[in-house]
Amino acid sequence: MVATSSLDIKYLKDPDVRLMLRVRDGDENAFSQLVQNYQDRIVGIFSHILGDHEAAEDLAQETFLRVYRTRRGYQPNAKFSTYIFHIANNLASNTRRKKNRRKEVAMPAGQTTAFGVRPEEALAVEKSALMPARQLTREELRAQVRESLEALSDREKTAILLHKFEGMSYVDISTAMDMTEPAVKSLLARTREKLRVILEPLIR
Amino acid sequence: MKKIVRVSTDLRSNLVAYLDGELDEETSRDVEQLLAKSEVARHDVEMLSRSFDLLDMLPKEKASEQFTQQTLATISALENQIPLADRQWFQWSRRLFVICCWFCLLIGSAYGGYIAGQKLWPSPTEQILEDFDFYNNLDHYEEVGEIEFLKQLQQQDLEDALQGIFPEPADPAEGEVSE
Repeated sequence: MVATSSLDIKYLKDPDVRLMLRVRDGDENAFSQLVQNYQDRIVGIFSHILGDHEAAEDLAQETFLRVYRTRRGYQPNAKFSTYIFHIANNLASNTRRKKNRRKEVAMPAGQTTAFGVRPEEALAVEKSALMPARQLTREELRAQVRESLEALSDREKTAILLHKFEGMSYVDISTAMDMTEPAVKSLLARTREKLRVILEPLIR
Repeated sequence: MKKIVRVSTDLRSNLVAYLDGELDEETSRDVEQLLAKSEVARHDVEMLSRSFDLLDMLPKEKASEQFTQQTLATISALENQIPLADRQWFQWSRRLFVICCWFCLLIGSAYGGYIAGQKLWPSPTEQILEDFDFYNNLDHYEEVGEIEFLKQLQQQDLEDALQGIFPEPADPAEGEVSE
């Protein structure tokens, strides 16, 4: 049976929460519906974070598997989008940790790596007077924006993408990313500032 | 040339939250007052807003057409790999088995208790049934009359006597002939 605390009732208005409750009760069609509702959104976020569509699909599939496996213990304590992006964020964090253990070495800001300058520094140089003064084509602009996203850390990317494309509030992002609300505010301010520094020359 | 002074980090954090509509009314008013006064702050807000809007140019990635089917098939395959103990039907069967065991134990205990009760406190009817042979032969026993004779019978041929079959007394005439 569905728990009927006031908190739960608030989230029962969310149609996806109701679908998930049906999944919890063994309705396979409801799960199929949820996959269809969220697959593009999850794959989209992971694609931007990982920069690899195939890897994004694998991780998105893993996200849905985890939702399915944990269905029996599901309680509607948040919007369904917050719930699923929390799982997605955990998976992305795990993947990031594994990747870091394998090969990545963190470099302090301002230092160049053994492979050259850091992406944001490269972009900062590009935005300077070295850049040819001409109108960028739409494709070039798109590539620059894509590159600007690469300059962000995975956490920054996740926060900005959830905010931008999922329209999540700071509270929802804090739930999805296991952070406090002030920490989200600070993270997003820092991220937006980075983007501003990188993209400002393109705006002018 | 006019020197551009940057807005502090705290203030910038509030500018972003202001753009995102995440500030309370009072802080929003403070930010609006700042924007009214500071050209630098206005410029920063505009740049923050326009750079954020540029993210709309990012390609919209979509899941492949087979994604739903693949995901559901993978889940179905994994579901079949679930260990026996974790399967729902097995858990129900196990519960049913436990219930049956308890039920049998209850029935066994009740029967044992009944039997024990019968042994400890036999009913008058049971006692009569148990002594039926005795009552059946009571007339014969009364004919015997005394206990000493009964003991003698017991030493000789108890079973027949108890069934009321007594040895034929020796024929006196037969004795005379033989003599």
